[in-house]
Amino acid sequence: MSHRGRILKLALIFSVLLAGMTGNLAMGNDSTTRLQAMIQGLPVTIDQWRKSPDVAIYDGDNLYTYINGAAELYISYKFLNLISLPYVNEDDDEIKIDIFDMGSPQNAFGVFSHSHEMTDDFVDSNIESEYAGGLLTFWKGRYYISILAYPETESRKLVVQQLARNIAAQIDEPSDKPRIIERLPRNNLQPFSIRYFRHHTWMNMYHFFSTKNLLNIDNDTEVVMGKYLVDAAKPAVLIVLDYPDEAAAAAAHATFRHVFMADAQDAYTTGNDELWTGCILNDSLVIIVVDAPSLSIAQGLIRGVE
Amino acid sequence: MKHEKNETERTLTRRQFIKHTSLATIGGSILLSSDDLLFATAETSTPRTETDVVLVRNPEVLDKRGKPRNEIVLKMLDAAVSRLTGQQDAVEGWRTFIKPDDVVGIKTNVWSPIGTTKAVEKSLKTRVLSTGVRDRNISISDRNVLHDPVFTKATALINARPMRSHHWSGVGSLIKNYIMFVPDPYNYHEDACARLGEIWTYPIVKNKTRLNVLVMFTPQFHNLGPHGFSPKHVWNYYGLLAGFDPVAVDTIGVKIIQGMRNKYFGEERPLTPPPHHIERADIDYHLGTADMNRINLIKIGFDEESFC
Repeated sequence: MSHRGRILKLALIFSVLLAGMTGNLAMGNDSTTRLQAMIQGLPVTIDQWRKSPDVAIYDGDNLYTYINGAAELYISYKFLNLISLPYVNEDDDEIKIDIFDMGSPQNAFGVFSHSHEMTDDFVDSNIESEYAGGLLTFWKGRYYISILAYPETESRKLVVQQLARNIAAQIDEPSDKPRIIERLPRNNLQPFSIRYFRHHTWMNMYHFFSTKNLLNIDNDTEVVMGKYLVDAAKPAVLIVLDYPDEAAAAAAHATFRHVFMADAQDAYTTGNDELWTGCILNDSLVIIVVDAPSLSIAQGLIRGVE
Repeated sequence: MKHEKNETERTLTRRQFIKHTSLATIGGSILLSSDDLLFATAETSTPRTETDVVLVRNPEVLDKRGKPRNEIVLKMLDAAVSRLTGQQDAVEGWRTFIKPDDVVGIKTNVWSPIGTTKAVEKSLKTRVLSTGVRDRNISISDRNVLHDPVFTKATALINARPMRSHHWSGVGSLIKNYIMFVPDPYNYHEDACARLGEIWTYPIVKNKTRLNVLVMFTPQFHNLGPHGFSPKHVWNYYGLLAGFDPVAVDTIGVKIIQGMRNKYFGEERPLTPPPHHIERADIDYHLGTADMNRINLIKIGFDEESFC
């Protein structure tokens, strides 16, 4: 851990200890105060597990000291702060709790949806979560939460559930999903395939385009994609990019057509793989379909957005 | 549809596929009779080439708790080195690339959910010692390599780590394992860590790597959560990959990970971001080959669902 990280950690441990002596932390408006209050609201012990004083808080500048190599994912979703807290037992086993303040419910949904394959009601029926093998991830409001209890046991699983419910109960704000996902037509949309992001790296999740930011996706550009299984073994991928203005959208549209559809006579083309690609400009939206098994399916998917 | 050039999308030729499948079938049938027989009779007559990559698999390598067994790991490593060096005796094989006066750093990886494992570290050290290198001239380290006196004066490096999917570089690879040799690893994260190969050109490591071992006992093919560890997406592969060319070994490792992803998800599901730092290590830094057509894959042992 860096010198700065150690200082932050010590400062936070001190503040938590102080809060323990003087009562609960006052609920403040800033991100770190809210996160500290959530930790403070967790039980001191639960079954054989005891809340560790080894609390740490991170921001975009030092997150790598905690999850080196994985920090960029959260930075790409504009997270504000992370608070981490272990529960420990007598054998020094840990249950790791990580609560990310993602700044908005949209970003919290985005990072949750980034790699999930299913959702369950492990925390609550109105909370999207995924539990498997000792790892729970879920989102509520602006928060993305991970609880890792590995190796998994039945008793640990129950502790994870209780901790998650406690955390969720402390979050009052609504879990509003990005409105752009309503643009995706629902017919034939593969379950749990929606991905939402504002960073070009994630364009390649279902179909490789480029390692470069050819479409100029930045924090002002919302992107949503989903997979559609229509009369084919391979799903078609529908992508909607919402740019801050029509000029930015037009530039991205022209680039896509130039780089990926150079031989196309109109908005649709097919390649050697006999799969169809389409790209339409619609005001500030660029709508892309790839891997469609036929022209009519490509057109139908894009029309579903328009 | 025209795609931007993607040189990572390469496949084995049909001839290579048949050759590899045949070798694997032979190895698999020997394994059924005896591990010792297998390792004693692993082909050693073929001349060594820099692009040889040996995959050794043995379902017995993991005990009931999923921990690697020391004695099996050592046998697997010996089989790989014998095949790579063309020496029947693995220790003699080691002596072709490690000399008694070498100062040897074994670069490991301590990521706690899936590490290089003590069994692999111990096997590597055992064999380095058997070449005549003094104990005090051997060190095993990950995050302290810049401050470890053996590593700072090392004349030889052994690079060993597990492969797993990774949120930002596509996979944790042999190429990526040297990121601890720079004081500012965060400065190599741009463009999905495309520049990692550059580290291999720095004096502290340049031309020192004698063997690369990619641990594939329990690889991870998909990431969830902030720690990058998702128990659901780890599977028992029981393998070790070894070679002199880190790019070639990584390339085979990626093929295996991608194969499991495709099987699990029931469709082609590319690693995201693409692990193009491996390809860049070939094209920009000439550290080896990422071209499947130039990699000579040799499979020894268990061959069910090898994905390569």
